[in-house]
Amino acid sequence: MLHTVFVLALVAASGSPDPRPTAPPPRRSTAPRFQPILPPPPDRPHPRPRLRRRPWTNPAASETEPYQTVVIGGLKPAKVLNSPRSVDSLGPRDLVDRAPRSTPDLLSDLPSVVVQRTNHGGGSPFIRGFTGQQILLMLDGVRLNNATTRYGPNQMLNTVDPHMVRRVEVLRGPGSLLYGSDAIGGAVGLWSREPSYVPGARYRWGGSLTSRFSTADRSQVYNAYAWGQAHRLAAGFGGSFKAFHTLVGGRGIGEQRGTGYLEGAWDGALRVSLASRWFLKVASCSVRQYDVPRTDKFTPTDFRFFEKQFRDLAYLQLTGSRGHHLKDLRVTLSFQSHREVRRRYRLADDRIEVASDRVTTAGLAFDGRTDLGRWSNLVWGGDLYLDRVRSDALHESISTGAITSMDAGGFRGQFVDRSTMVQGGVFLYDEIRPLPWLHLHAGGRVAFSHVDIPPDPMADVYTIDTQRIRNTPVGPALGLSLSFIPQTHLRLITSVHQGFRAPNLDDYTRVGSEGVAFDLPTSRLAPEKTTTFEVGAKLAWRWLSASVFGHYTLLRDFIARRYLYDAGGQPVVIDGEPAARRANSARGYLAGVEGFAQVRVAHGFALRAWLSWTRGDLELPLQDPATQPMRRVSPLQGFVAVRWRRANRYWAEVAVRWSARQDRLSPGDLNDTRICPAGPVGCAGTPDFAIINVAAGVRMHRHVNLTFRLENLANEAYKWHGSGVYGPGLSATAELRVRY
Amino acid sequence: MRLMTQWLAVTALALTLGGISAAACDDPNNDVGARCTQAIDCTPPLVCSNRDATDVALGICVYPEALPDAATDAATDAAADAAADADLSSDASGV
Repeated sequence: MLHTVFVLALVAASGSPDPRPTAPPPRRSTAPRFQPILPPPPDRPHPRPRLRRRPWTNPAASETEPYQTVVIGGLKPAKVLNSPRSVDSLGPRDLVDRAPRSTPDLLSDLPSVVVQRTNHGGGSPFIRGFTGQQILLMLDGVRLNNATTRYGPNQMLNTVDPHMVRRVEVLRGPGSLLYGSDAIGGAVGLWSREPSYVPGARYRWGGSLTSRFSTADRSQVYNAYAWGQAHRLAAGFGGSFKAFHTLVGGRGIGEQRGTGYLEGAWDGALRVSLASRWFLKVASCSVRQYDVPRTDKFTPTDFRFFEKQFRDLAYLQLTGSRGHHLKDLRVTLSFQSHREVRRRYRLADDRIEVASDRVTTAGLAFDGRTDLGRWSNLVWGGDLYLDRVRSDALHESISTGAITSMDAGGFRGQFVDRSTMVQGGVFLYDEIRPLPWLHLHAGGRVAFSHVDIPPDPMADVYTIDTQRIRNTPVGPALGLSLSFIPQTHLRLITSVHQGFRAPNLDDYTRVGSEGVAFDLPTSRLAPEKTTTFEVGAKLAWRWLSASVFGHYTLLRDFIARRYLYDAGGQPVVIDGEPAARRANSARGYLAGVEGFAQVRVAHGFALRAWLSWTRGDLELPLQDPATQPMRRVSPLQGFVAVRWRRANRYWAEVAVRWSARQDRLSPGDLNDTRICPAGPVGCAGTPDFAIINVAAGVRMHRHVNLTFRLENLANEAYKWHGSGVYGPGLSATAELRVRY
Repeated sequence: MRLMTQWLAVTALALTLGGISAAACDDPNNDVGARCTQAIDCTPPLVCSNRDATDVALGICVYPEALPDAATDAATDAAADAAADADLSSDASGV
């Protein structure tokens, strides 16, 4: 019945079907932009067929293996093994096996990635010690970071429905050359599902229904998706509903107040084949989250909610190729809206503080590549994004309901209303293969950003310039990677890459209490700049695949909070918190090592493990102490898993994820209640932990997938470093997916 | 096989709709911060911040600890309930 309705709708959309039998149309290329398999270089045999012939290969290995295709870090589809960067990829099978509650969950077991959670509705990836403004998030190549992406962790990744994601890619290390501002510590690329399209087919349809239940937060998640193809037109639409309740932590933690919320999401895409290898895609996705509590700021007398977290993205994308000189052209015109309404309930002051921000972003991006012969492959592109911010606030009396507006109350929204930010750049990136054993990747970007902030209505109060603020920093970002290939299965890599982050409106105009300080606006900032040196090796040999990278990042003009002092040398305190402004006041370093190995054993078993360690220090000449650890740097941690898979129908996994204690804390960490709930005195940091998870899945029928997970078998009370909420205790999760 | 697929799809759709309905009716936040004028407006254990005072018209639903008196009352009530339970159990054991 459902099929019939859907087919009728498609038929109506595409015109009357021709009842006469017709000859099949000429075959069209099936090569969508990011579809795998690269032909082997003429001078080098492709190793995969050899592996397939070996008896020790088995399907137990995760899709995160050296032969997965990645786009991130090069813009050209390449195998993880062949990429000169430290990259990872999760494919559709991995995403189904993980049965994630949210999109941040997808990243939680990836090497060197830590997902910090200020609240149950958050989830900010830490990559090589960076997070928030210094990690770029992208969906289908469109930047999700915007002019109000906040200092420190943010919940942006959780505003993407995991059901609409078909592929996740992670770049560790700077990506500013290709992706522009914010990609200092790394970049996360999400690729959404697309309606299935087969060239030459007349009518096809399908879809899926997914249900997920978890005892950890008594959550229920439902998703429905339908797709269809009529001749050259393919379309797909889906939607999710999610209800999360109070999250139960491990031993001694129990129910955690301020963790439940509601969410709805939907997505749709329409793809038209214009000509051979040319496609036009229109896509849209939206998320609505309601009453998401801020768990770390949830005391009985002073608590906060994100009353609304809304994100909408719509884009029009043209992709195609023409000859050797125009390959994989992609032009994307996008529009985004991100709305956030926050409510803070302060019983002692008889007040509810309501703040509302809305950012609308228009974007234009293009990229492609030109094949210049056997030894050179030029990738080029550019982007331009315009953000416009509306910001509002009001106070409401708890006892009388009286409303106080901004004008009457002498306050303003979190940002200066009607502020704008424009940023963009162009880049060139070339892959040169001068010798069979030497590959060189080099390129550069010229970038600019421009902020335009109207006069601050509270300039007198905050003692800043009363004039309109305009600032236009321009700068380059360069990168170079050298890959030495002594053996077919081995890559030795050394690289130098620059990263930058243009200060955004959050840095310039934010006012309010957030975490450990009361932020005040500032009028002049320069971009943060980094230079990262990497040395690494990648190996894919018979039953073993492994990679190891060492990295060292120099930080310049790092934007940090500069605390304010009065004439008597005492800290200025506003609303009970020390006042601070952002300033390019820090420089320092961040260094680390990350290693990954996967051993494929016989009979369908595979062993997978990774380890990462990071350390960073900042020099802040005007603060005491002048040299201090970087904030929220994750401690030594790792992951070990044994996985078994049989005939692509059954699989099971036992995994241990562990983290060492982190007691190397900055002054900011000591004053952060997420890390030191009882205050800085005697704070021992974040305790070490190890959690054991068991998961299994079965494909009961061609159309039915069942995934079952037991999490935290030891019921340990644990918290990722910097998180405001404890992880789930002993709990069970079941996900049922029916495809039709 | 096709019939089975359709049966699975319809069953899953029915379960999905039923689950959504059940989940939507169950507010995950227990109304913390919701407007109230008296205690019965709030889902227990929440209380109204105005404590049903006649001179204060409005309040919000909060946890009892937010109002020291309410917390004391709640603790007293809990102790009384526990004592009553103990009495009942002792009566039962005496039977």
